[in-house]
Amino acid sequence: MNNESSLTPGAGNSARSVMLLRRCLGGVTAIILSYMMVLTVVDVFGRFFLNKPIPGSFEMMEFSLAILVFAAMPLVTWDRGHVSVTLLDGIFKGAGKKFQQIVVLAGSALAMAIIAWRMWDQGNRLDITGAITGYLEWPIAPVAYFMAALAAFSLIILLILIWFVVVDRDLPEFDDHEMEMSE
Amino acid sequence: MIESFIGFAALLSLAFIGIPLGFSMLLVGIVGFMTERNMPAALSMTGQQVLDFSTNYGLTVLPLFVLMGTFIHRAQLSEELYDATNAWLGHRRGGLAMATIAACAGFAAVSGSSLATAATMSKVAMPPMRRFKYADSLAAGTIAAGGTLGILIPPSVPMVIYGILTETDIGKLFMAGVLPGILLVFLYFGAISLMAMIRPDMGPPGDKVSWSGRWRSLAKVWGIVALFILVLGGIYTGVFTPTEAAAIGAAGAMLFALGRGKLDWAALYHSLVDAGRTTAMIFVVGFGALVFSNFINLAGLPSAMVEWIESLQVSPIGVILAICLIYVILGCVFDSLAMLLLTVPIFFPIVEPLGVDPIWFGIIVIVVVEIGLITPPIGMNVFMVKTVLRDVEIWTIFNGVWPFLAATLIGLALIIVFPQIALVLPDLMLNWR
Repeated sequence: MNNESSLTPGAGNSARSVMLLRRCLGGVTAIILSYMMVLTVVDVFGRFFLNKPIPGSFEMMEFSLAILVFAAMPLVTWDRGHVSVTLLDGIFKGAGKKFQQIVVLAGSALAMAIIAWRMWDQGNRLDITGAITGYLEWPIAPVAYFMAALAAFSLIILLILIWFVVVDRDLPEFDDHEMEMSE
Repeated sequence: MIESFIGFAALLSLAFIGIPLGFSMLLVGIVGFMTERNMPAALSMTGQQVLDFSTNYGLTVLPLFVLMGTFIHRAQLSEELYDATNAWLGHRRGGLAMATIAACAGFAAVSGSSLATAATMSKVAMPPMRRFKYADSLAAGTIAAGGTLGILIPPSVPMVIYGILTETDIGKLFMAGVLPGILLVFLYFGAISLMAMIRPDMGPPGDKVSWSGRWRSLAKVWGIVALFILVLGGIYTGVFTPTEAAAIGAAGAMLFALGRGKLDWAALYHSLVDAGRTTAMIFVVGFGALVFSNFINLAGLPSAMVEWIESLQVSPIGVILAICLIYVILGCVFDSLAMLLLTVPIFFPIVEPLGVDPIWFGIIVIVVVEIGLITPPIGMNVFMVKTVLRDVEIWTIFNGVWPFLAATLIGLALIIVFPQIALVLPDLMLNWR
């Protein structure tokens, strides 16, 4: 499925590490989502047939959701796949197009920086108060730190993309995913 | 109040430049909140909203239903589905188009996405319609319009989002979508019949299939029926919560795809990652919408609008019609998901005090979102059909969509006049439990 020819030609090693990085993010996403599916199914079966639901599955699901969203976030960001209004895309040409791309990426980077920073801050607060979940008594702070780290990684990707636009390099296109079908 | 309008203007400017909607809403929301209160309050609100939204148990239903959709997409059962509906409907005038609509409805019953429905059916339904010399406009328009059934017939990702935003029971919303979905199927049939009557050359009848052939083709789609009954029946009877139904639906769809030999390790990996990516996209828009609507609420827009509407002495129906009109206009420009996340937190507080049923309003919103999916200049479904059928002009598809647009509007009017169409099933559910 991975097609390295779609990456910058001649960049064999870095292309491979890029694909490896994407595979890692994809791997976490895939594992967490299949875990959510299996956990819920086993929980339901346990409840019905053994009269023994999985204790704390509720909290595991909440943690998983946050990890899933933030593990997939860098991938979507990397492909500039976020939901946007594309109505006026066609009117930007040449230098205008370059300027528009920089504005778009910089705006995204600013928002992502705020998310990363705020999640870090949330993590600190949760850490200080020693907040734990109600049943499993898991500390919540690490989840917030994880979200902060992955948001920061998305931010780095956006900054690299800005640099690509500034030096007139083609933005990377990947075909290791299908179309998103959100509606 | 005035701050809200400045906020909207700023949001539209950022969004039209091309900054992703979630980020645009987040940035404007923070700045707006800051001007209303102060910087630390705005930042701490943002952090709290993002963290709460990401760890909200109610939202775990979302990735699981999306996953069910990606597995169903992989299972490639659209061919059997189309064969079955074609066997029953194909011999009529415009029959292949009707078969397309019916197959879309069948696919919608196991998928929560309009785009997935349109994408899948484009590949399967277009070649036979071409073979029978259907006009491209009718054929492609049918697929684009039929695809919109994906979000009205449960399961439905937009309904899940509406349910979470308004704290409405997702199971009841799903049930409420069933009859309106069937209504639209028949209205679409009517539109096709009418077209085929006026211009018989646009949609000639197909081959007739024997009765035994019809039953045989129907038997092949048992998997869809089983999955639909399992998921919807489980929610209907209260045996599963929506999250559980979604997980079981996803697992069932996975086994189904596996049984059909369409799911190797790579396909499994991609189904999971695609579902995760879609979830992340939805969440980013969700973060932005939450922060933005916090600002709008603080600025007092919803309460000001409620007062304004009260002073006008408009009937609730008048308000609903005005909201529908706003949605149709917004739908021309906005992506359906973003529209939902942005507008529901604003409109819902307006209609709620008027005594409007939240479930009924949800169905109305979904139907107007469907309209947005097929109206120019931004009709995501039309774009999706165009992506698959590269040789069909985009305006040919938009031209083919008009009769279906009229049919959808008639359906919308019927649901507004007869709320029972939406509410009878969820009400029954309440009595039964």
